[in-house]
Amino acid sequence: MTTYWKLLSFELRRLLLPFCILVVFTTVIQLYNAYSKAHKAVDYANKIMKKERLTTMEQYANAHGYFSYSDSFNQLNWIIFSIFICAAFVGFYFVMIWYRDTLGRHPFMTRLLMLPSSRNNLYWAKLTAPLLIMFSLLALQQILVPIGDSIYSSIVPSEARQDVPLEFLIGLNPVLNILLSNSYIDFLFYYGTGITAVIVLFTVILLERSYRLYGLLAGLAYAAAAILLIAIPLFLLQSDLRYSLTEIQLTIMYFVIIALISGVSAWFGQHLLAKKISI
Amino acid sequence: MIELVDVKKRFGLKKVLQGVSFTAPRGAITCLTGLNGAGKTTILKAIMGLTPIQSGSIRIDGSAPHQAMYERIVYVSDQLTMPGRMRIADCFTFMQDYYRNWNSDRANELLARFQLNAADKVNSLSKGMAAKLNLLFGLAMDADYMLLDEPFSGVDIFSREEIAAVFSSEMVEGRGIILTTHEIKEIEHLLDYVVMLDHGRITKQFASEDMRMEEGKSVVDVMREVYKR
Repeated sequence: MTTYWKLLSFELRRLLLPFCILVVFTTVIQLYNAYSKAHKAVDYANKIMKKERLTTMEQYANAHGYFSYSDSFNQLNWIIFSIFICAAFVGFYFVMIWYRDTLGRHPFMTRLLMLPSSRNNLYWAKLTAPLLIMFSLLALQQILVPIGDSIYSSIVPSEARQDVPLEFLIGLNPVLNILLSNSYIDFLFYYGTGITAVIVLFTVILLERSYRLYGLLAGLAYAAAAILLIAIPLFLLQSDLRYSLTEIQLTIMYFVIIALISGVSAWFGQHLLAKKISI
Repeated sequence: MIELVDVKKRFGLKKVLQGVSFTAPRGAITCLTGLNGAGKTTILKAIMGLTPIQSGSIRIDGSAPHQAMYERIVYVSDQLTMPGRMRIADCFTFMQDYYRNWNSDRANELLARFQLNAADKVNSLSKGMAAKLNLLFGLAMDADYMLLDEPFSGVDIFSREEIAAVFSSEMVEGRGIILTTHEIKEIEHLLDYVVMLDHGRITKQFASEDMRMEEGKSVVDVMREVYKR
């Protein structure tokens, strides 16, 4: 277990620089977005007030409606772009976390496989490090939404502003609504599916690293089988059988299937790492 | 003693090891020689569990290889096995963190001996310096066995002499060493056993002293006979 924590800390240290870059990038983009949207709103209001000879913001709001930070949430914009960049990095890293140590002039994987402790520690460290980065970036999102709201509120006068609860703000954005879901079931659904996908991906990579081209083909077949299994409850939901199963039964079936796939894939991946991988 | 019995290994359809059997005793230097593709590196990797074998058995002091043995047996690859951006000093910290048998005093002693700089990054090292650092990683561990893959590969004559000198020093005394190399000349006098490989098969194995005494031939002479046939 100590080796696991050491390896996890080592992997996190390797991820520190890109993580910091992503934090700065996301923070700047999203806070600037709030700042610029607020200024645009105030400028627009001033322009209209001048044109229509209105004297107060209240008059403007009564005539044209209130401004809200939510206006910048319900459309494709910089917020989604910054989330997309973070997601793309984390996704890319889930693949590269194995290959970066295997390919190149200095095959660090050789050293990692020769550590005097179970190779399972390596497997779990490589799985949890990017997951921790992902959850940290989500936590950042959770912090940036209220900060952005505060910036917006400090620029747009309260007479012309309609404040909305943060849950409502998040719910308006199609991407944030999934990432920062309010419902436990939705959270488990999205993240359970995501983590299962990563564990299956690790199995595909380890099959490829063990048997090269044949392994890759077998891995792709394995991934296809996993997708088909996961699709069973969704398929049932679309078919006539949906009348004979309740929504709760289908949800339980879905969670049992992803737990089963994750368990089998994690066991298989660790077996490949311990007995079959070839450097 | 490291013992291989009838070890077979395939990469796809290609047979890389075809029934390899030999023993490498502790306290002796065993050299695996052969032309490129003979299976030398694969043997070392198979012993270390870095590549699985199809059949046969590998035993280290009577037991099958397992993860905990990595403190008793150390593999020195022909490539540096540390991330390129790491400094040598960080590599030392890494080794100390994971290996209880890492000997920091010896590591620092070797660092000075090989004229390496602890602040240098791994990817800034020349081929010769990388080979010396690799050897350092092996020697700084208090291990019973050392497996060295081409320790002289791409190394200049002076570095080669420096590395060869290590094999006659007290640092390797009592350890079982298996090394693969084409550059026999510098270390021929230090070799106890020689295993000659060709296309995954052992063509000849002998004790070098016996060969000298009984047939009056050096290892290089035998290599010429075997590989020039």
